[in-house]
Amino acid sequence: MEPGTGRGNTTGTPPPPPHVTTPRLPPPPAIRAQDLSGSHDGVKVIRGIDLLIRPGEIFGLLGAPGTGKSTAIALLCTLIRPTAGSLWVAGHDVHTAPSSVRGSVGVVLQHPTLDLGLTVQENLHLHAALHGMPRRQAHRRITATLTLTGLLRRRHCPVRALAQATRRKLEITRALLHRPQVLLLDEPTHGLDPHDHQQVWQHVHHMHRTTGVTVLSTIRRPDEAHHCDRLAILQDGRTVTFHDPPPPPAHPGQDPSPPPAPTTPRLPTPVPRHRTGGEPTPKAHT
Amino acid sequence: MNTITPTLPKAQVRAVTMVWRREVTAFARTRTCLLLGAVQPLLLLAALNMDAPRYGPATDSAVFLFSGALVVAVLAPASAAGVSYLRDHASGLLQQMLLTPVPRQCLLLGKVLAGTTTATCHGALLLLLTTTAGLPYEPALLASLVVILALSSFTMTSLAVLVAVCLPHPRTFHTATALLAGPMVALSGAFSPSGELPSWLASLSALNPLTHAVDATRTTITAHLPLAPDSLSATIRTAGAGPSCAEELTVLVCCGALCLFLALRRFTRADRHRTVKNTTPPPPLFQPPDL
Repeated sequence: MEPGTGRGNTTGTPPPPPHVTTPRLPPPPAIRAQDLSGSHDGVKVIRGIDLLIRPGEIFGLLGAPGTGKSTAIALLCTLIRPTAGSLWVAGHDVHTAPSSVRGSVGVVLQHPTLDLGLTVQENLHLHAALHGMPRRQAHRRITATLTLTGLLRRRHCPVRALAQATRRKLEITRALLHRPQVLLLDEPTHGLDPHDHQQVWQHVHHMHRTTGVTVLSTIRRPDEAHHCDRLAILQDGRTVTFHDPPPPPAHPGQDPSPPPAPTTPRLPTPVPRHRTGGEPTPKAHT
Repeated sequence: MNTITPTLPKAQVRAVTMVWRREVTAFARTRTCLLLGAVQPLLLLAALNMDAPRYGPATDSAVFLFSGALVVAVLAPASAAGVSYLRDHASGLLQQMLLTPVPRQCLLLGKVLAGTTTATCHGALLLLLTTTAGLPYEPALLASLVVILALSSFTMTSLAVLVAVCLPHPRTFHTATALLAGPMVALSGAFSPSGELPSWLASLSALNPLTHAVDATRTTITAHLPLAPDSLSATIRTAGAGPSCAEELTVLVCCGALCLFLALRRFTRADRHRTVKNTTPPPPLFQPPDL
């Protein structure tokens, strides 16, 4: 054994001081919004929301219909322009670099947007071309992605022949084809029956585990909240409840301070999330 | 992450090609639309030939009507490009395509090119009947007519897409195209000689791109006929005293280019206004810890 390691040291000499290492800076947030406001059809729907979403987490935006969830998604994916505030998505400012934001996010809108007249593979090729992927790279990636999602055998099927849940899974697959940093889901289970809800969320978790993408999903039903790592409630265009992440330590080695308790009525106790092939993972809000 | 920047010319060409391919594939897979598109100009010819003798001998009238029907045949498929835009707009597919980093011009260019292709194919079907109009199967004549069809299709498709971009509501679009199509066909001289129009209408017909397309078609056909009938030449608006076929086609293309430019400008207007310079300093992404 090497002397001074502290293991089996019998000489009685004090151990050397611990090596001071450069503190690891936390990664930049995947989404950062400050006092973000936006309008839809001339009506001010979002009236100042603040978001700070860490890379790799699944973040939920819960709200009743008409509270601005879809408008928030539209702001994040640069479909509409913010009327006030700042918004950074995947490190890009939506005001000055909207094209870069669009290249870094994958979006699944509330209503289906597949071309029913084309096949599964043709839909994916169109998406790949619009994201600037070369033909060979697109072909390889489409084959790999379809294999991952179990749709390889149906690549030549017209989309109109697929079930609703399968079309939804295909849209999620399409949104991840260009390997975005952030995946935006606008009510991914909208219009599906309860059995298909579980299928779609399992697919989301599967793709999240495989690719490590940051997911922001709007949800309408509280019983879907347990699918998210953190949650914010949207009400009257503002985030009412927001669980801030713990701040980075002020000094190296110091334990991070515990997250603050929410100041609004507590959410109902979530049902433990069941991951595919794993044991149930209890979810803690505080 | 992608290894190719979508703003590179190669990537943009690929995007335009994929949008074109998508539209043409959808057109080729709708057999009913193909069949009806082939039948429509034939019915038009059959209906108009019943009243042919007032334009002169049968051969003259057949050539006269055939040249007009050839140009008019591209109108319906060209307006289908505008309908395709509206359908994508309503279904959300256009919105999904706008969420990609490729420049917006590429999406519209692909649609216009696809509409030009399908309209040209529709019109080219009518060329199979050139012998019924007394025209010879000359490769040079057929190639010239295909070029005129392509340019006419481009202009009409650009106009239809411009109307669709400006008036995205389906009912308004159909009303607007009906309002435009009728006078354009009536003033073009496709089925009635332009010389019979009042002087003020004859002046208006000069602003009609279809008029130039019909004139160019008749001039081309006249040049390839061994004995061009005088009555046919008389129906050409500016025969012997006006612009040549090349000049007519130039005017036609310029009309189409203007419509395309206005459509692109309108379509990308939102994107241009969005990229404003942010004068406030960006917030720090994270605070480094105090060491």
